[in-house]
Amino acid sequence: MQTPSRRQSESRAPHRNRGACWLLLACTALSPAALLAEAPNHFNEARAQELLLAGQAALEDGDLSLAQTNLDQAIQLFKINEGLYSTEQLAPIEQLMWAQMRAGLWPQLDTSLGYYYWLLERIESTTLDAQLAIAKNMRGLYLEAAAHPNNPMPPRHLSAAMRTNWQTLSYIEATLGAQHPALLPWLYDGLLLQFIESRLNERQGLTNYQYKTNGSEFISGWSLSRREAKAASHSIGLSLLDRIETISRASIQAERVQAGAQDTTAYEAARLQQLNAALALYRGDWERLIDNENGARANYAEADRLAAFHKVPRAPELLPRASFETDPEILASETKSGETSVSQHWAARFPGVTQRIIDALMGY
Amino acid sequence: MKIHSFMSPSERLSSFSILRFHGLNIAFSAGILLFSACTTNPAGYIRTLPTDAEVAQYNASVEPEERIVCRRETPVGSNVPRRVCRYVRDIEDTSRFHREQLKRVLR
Repeated sequence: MQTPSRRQSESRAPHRNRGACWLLLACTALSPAALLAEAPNHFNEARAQELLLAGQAALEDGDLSLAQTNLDQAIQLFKINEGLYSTEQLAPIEQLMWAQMRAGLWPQLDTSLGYYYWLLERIESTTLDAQLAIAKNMRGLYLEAAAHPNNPMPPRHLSAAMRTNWQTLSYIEATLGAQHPALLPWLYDGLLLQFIESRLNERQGLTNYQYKTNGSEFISGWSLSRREAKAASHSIGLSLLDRIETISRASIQAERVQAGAQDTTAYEAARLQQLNAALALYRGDWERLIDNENGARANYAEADRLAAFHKVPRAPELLPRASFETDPEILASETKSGETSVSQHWAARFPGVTQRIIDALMGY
Repeated sequence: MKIHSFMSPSERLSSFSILRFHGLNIAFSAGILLFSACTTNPAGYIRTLPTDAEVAQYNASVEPEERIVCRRETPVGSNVPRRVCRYVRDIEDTSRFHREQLKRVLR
């Protein structure tokens, strides 16, 4: 005897068969190959790369939200595919930090910075060039953060940019030696950073920040006065020029020794003379930037002993120069090229700092 | 040099890997060198103090409390200012001590 439920199931059987047929047809139409082709493989290596590129493109286009989404996903994929301590993560994290900084997401930026430094600590295999590129990128990030109009603590980021530069100098000294010419661009960049710091110091209420804002808490009661901070900044600039002089001299002399020829003495003397004139010019610039006209004139007179330096412009609005050069021809042409960008100011809180100087520091 | 979660990004920067291999040693040696430069020798005169640039470079490599602050101070009983360099931790310890002394006196 059949139960009511059994009878019911028998009566539904033809419908079930028809349903099965439809399912079979549908499965045949959507072959496994077609399904595979459409379903994205989220752990595909190429996909992480695609997301990174899409994130970079969005960052360049100014779509910061999309950039963050793509870069965040790229980081996760690299983490899964390449490992927790993989170097592949560095590029998307760097890009993500730029996106977060430009979007003014300061707590998120701090989190990313924390992860970035944590990761750097664990990556052993790296080269000098890679480390210098990282340092340059971080310095640029901190600089742009310092200029961001919505940054609640710009001095902290400027301070971090300066510290990155000092750390890089220490790193090059420890790796290549204290007299290596690779130090020269970083020494001059240090001078440019001092100039930027002095401009921020000009703003009332922002003195002593170098010491007040280094840590998570503001420290007060023992920091330098504005006058002392300015004097320290000026003396650091002069020390950096002194170091540039020492290294450049040693480099010229080392080249002669390497050449091993006696007839290079005249050539060396000419180069040293040119170096002296260039350094006098830069020292004059540095004095002019703090309105010490007497000091500036004395140094310029020293530079002008070499006739070729007469034509190098030295108007205050063109100072400081973007890079360190000793060739008067290059010095003249590069300084003149800055005339077109005199009015391109970088940020409201850094009066007198033009975009030209920032471009030089960013390596554009 | 270790990175701590409580460190701010700028402090973590001090633990940057570019300094990891020698960082602590450099910082430690630099600290000793800088401070040996600050001390007076047996003959009684003051040796050359670290320049502002040397101090800035050293400060970039160490924890905030290990940093050095140099400034010109006019000692009591003299009108001649002199340059003095101190560790931040010493300045803070001294400040704390003086605050406590003041509190005790005012109690």
